[in-house]
Amino acid sequence: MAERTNSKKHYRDNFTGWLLNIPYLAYTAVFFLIPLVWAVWLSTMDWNLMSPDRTFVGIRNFTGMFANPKIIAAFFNSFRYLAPIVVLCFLFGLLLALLISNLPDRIKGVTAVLFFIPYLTSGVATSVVIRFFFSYNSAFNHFLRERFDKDISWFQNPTSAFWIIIAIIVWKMSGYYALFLLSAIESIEPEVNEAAAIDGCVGFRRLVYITLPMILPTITTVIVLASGLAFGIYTEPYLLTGGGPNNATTTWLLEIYNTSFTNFRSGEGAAMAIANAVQIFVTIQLFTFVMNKLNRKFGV
Amino acid sequence: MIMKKLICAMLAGIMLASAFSGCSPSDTAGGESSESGGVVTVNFWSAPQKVQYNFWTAKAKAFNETETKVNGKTINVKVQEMPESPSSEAGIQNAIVTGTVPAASENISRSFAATLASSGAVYDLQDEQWFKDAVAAKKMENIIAGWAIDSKQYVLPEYVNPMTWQWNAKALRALGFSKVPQTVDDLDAVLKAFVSNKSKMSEIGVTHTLYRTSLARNDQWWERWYDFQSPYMALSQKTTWVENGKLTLDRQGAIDTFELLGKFGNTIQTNEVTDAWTAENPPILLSVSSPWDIQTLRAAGKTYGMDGDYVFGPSLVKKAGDTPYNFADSKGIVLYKNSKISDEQHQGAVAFLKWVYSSENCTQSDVDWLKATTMIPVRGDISTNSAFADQLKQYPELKDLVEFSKYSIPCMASDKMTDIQTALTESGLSVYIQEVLKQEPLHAPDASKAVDSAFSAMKAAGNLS
Repeated sequence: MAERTNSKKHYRDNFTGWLLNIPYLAYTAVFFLIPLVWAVWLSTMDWNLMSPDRTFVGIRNFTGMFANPKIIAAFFNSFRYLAPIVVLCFLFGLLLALLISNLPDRIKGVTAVLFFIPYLTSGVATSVVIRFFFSYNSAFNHFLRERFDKDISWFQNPTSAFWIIIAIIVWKMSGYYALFLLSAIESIEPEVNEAAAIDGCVGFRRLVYITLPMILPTITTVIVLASGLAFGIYTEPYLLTGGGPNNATTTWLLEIYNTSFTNFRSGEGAAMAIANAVQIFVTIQLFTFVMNKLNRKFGV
Repeated sequence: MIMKKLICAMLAGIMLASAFSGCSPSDTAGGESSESGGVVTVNFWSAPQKVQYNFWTAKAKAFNETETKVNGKTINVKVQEMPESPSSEAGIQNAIVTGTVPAASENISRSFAATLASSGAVYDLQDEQWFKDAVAAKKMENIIAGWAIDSKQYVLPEYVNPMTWQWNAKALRALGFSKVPQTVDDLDAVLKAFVSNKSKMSEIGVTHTLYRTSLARNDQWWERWYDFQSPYMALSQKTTWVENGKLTLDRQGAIDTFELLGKFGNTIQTNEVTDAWTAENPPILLSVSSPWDIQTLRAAGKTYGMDGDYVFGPSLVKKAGDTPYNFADSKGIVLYKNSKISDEQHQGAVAFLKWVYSSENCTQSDVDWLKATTMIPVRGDISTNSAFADQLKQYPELKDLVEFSKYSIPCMASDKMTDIQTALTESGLSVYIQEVLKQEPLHAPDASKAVDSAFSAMKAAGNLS
């Protein structure tokens, strides 16, 4: 009798759970699962989406990518972007979080929000301002020419163009990640820091031996999120460099956009999107694996 | 318990409805048919420009007042700006796929029309009587052949911007020239004077000769219309680029065009200059013309003409007497073919265009267009028709452009145009310009290697023989 009652309760609980999950499941099916299946199908076609004629090409859209220097550049650029973005976003985010955590409580919140504002700024607006800042007749370039006799073509040099894009992204995202880290730092019990201080563990030592190990799960989140960010760069290179010079700043999204919406080769674009997704999945898994190892070894 | 289930179901329903609330189509393709009211709504997309939207809205309003009927139903034309993001072409592609494409739209280049035609997404207008009447009303009999796609007509030409050169008249005068350069020899003379008067040029703020940022950007394939095709047409005397799946580009003409740009050497300004033409002292000697900026330049107090601030010049030709052909930055109107567009909506769109370009309304429509946009309507009599005289008198800039537009050639009719022009950029012009930027003016490097490399790349990219 008791078993039957438990089973009924189990069924009721499950039913309510499923019922409340229906919106999410439906949303996932409509906006993720169906497009994914459709993209896989599209990637096997030679089709511009407009024509009633479409040709099945099997895996040709995938194999063709290996011969496309832009795709190869986008693949390697993802990793070139990844390293500085992850490192700098984490370091600047941590620095901001540490600085804000030491501020008086009454201004802590406001300061955190101030550093969060760049995250809310449109990439288009930022890129336009940056383009103006580095234009030939900007005050900055005037100054360089007048004072140092330097006439620099910022966006025509692969190195400077690349680092300008990195700088914009780091500026935009550091404040956002700082909020994650700040909340983790704030959640460390004051007694832990007091006990460490009694043992003489203060300053940099406290950061290394107390703070960082205690916020390692949050650091993992920040690093995984920042690594994903490196694969989603689009607005800045689109507006500032067009992926050049010599494909030095091109990205997957830029190439997918150009292939699908400029050259109207939607099948190829879909194949590229899938290849990009695979690269993201493998990289994020790798990062998660390494961070979990670190968590187990050094985490508290 | 029942109440709990009910609340859960309601919550789930509300969440589901909220999640999908944005998914209903904002509009139906072509428009709407309302049987009860006897009204057929016809959607027309204008370019994503306020002036063009205003023009078409005014025309639609006037047309709707005529209460024209198709199959006994009144046609009501509704104008919307076409999506601008990510591009108007991509917006149309999306509309075709999702079945929200309008019955007709403007802002279609010959090349994109070729893509639409090869996809069966637009109507062939060639045998339509209203189209023939519109061509006759616009006196376009000699022009329309240049708009053909595979010997058929899909586009009703609307406007043309002849892409030539825009010169800093103040700088030309300071260098001792009283006439705008017409030939390559004239350009050589100007560049020679520029090189030997660099300090004098600096005094009036001119630091560079040709302003062309896109020469340093591989992604901007469409700019090859302006900086390659326009001079190429003049230097090759109108040799086509692509025809019937064959690369017909004249090798020598292409070399001459590359080397024309090469003459500017390290005085090309490839960096962005935010107010190149509106600055008090423009820092450049010339750029590709931008007819759409006429109003902006006027608002900035710039005067036109050799005795003013800036002047449009023709495409540079090899020798005096050659025709200064140039690239026609031109767009037209198409009628979309889609299962979601009813025959009545299609007929409604035809009735609207027939009315706008009828023999009674055509000239006034084109005058209104010119006034609204300062872009030259495509017609064969613009310089002789008195209806345009006032406007051309008021805008001497337009008068010169009208003269140049007689030699304007639209873009190639190939659905592989973007690939072909990208290949030209990446394998040819961009590589060559990197070399050019290291040279002094008038020392153009030999372009034959870059041109040959571009030819191979273009053939591969466009599947051309």
